[in-house]
Amino acid sequence: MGPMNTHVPHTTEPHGAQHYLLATRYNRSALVAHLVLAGIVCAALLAPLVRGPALAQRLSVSLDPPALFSASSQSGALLGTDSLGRDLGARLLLATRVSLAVGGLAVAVACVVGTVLGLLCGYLMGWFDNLVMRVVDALLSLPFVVLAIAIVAAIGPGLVNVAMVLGLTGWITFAKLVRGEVLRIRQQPFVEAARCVGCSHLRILFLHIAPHVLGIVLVGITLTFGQMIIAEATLSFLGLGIPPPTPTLGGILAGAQETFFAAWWLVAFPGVILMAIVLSVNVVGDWLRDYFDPHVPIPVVRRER
Amino acid sequence: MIAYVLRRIVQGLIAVIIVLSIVFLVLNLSGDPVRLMLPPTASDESVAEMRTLMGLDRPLPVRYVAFLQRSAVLDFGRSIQTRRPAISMVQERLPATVQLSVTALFVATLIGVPLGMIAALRRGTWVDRVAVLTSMVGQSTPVFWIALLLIFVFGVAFPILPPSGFGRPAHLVLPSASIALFLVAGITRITRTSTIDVLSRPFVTVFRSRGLSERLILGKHVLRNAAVPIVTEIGLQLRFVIGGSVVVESIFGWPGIGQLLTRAAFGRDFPVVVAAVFVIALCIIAVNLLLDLLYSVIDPRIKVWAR
Repeated sequence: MGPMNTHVPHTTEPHGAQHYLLATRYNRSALVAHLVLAGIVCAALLAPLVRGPALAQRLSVSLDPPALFSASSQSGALLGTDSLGRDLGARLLLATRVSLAVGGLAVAVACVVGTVLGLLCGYLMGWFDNLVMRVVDALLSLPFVVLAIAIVAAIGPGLVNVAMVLGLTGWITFAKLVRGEVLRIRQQPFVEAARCVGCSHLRILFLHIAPHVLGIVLVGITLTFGQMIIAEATLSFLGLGIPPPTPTLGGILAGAQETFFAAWWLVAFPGVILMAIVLSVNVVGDWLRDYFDPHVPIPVVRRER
Repeated sequence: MIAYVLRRIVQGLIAVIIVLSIVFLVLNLSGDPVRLMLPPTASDESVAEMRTLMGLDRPLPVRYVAFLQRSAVLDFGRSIQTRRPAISMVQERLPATVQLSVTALFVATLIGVPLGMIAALRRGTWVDRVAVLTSMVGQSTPVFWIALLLIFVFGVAFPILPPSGFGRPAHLVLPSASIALFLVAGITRITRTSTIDVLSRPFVTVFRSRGLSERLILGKHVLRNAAVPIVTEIGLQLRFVIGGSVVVESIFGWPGIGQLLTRAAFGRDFPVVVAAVFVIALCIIAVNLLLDLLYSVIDPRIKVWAR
């Protein structure tokens, strides 16, 4: 589970996942964020169960207010219905699933590309490093959304396309984080030792150095995941993301603009879900950063007050 | 110092060339613009003729060099939709985007810096918690949703501000507020961290023990020492300001580059997309260079050109 924290008072130190769980238990906001995230992921996994009501159009109950807040609801839909009478709650579940899938795919692409480039840059240095860092600088001079829009203009919208676009614009975070870490690690004696006993460069880089960047990669994943989900929602909102038959949080919000005056729930709920996902991912990310930072003491026992 | 500025300008130009190269590659490796420009019923001969006319029959490296040469004189071709030079379409819309971005950045700084300082001073109290929470929530909220909420509250529920349009100062309020709310989060956060750091330095204690007024210590000495990370953050946020305005412009019908870019992307109007990306990259690089030079004005100990 990466570098263990040295600031643990007990002699019988819990290890790995157990250490992580214990440490998380005593950080209230991190705990809540983990639970919220777990709940959202479970909901997304169960989403196919509601595919029926999500797609069924019932124009007789179009723009029906949420049954949760309004007694006058006719459809019985807990979160109301949209202009075609489709159950908003069911559609939101499916949309959340799409968001997480696209975000996950995009982060996976970004993570692999960025980590490999970062490892190579930090280890090889020289012209290769220079070249890649120039490209990173150039991409940093463009807003994420602008680059994504430009690429979508070329390859067209769609689920896989959007994930690819986001992955190929998001790798710079990983490349920078990993490169910095490798530059630090390669100075350490164990790398020199590995070279002395005759390890090849590939072996040193991928078997000796790479495991030490796992922590920072994990932090990078949580840092970019929220960004990716917002970016996907933004693209879908602008009509440049995932096209309509597929429910997406951004797409639902774009449709809600037309019925703004009549249906507040179409604007409120998708946004709240989007915010809940991103907020909890960000809190977990901050927590992971502290957890893997050897300078921040992480208590695994309840703090005395 | 002049050598430093020149070096940075060259670096900036290299970055612009790389951006252009990436965009060129992406646009050319995917799809055929000729097919888009002609009606679907066009014969193969006329497609081939059009391709020759546009120079698309030449090999990729030749086109790449030609593309860079034309870019150097700001010639990005004509818009596929309007047949007007792409760069002048972007130029016309630049002022609106600048107006929106500058207002948003200005408002965000005006709110974020004091909020961050107050949070740092009242560390651990409810003020601090609210500031930290707000910045956490603010950074997790998509700009376009904030925009929708603002329209809902101030344009529909309590109609005191125009929900869309351009021209009068009142039109500027909602779009810039949408972007600013996101920026305030980042600026508050960095100001808080930076101020906490500066407050722990010995000179603050010395000034306090000498009886300098708290206002003078904070407003002059602490702020100035905490300013460098804040300016850095503002430079980094610039990407999000422009990114935010791209999204917000489409919602509020603001006639800026963002709206143009989104529409061009819709219509696969590549010359306009390239011109818009070019201008955006150029602006961000130029402003970041200026901010870099500003460091040595804020803190004379920093000589950026001596690095």
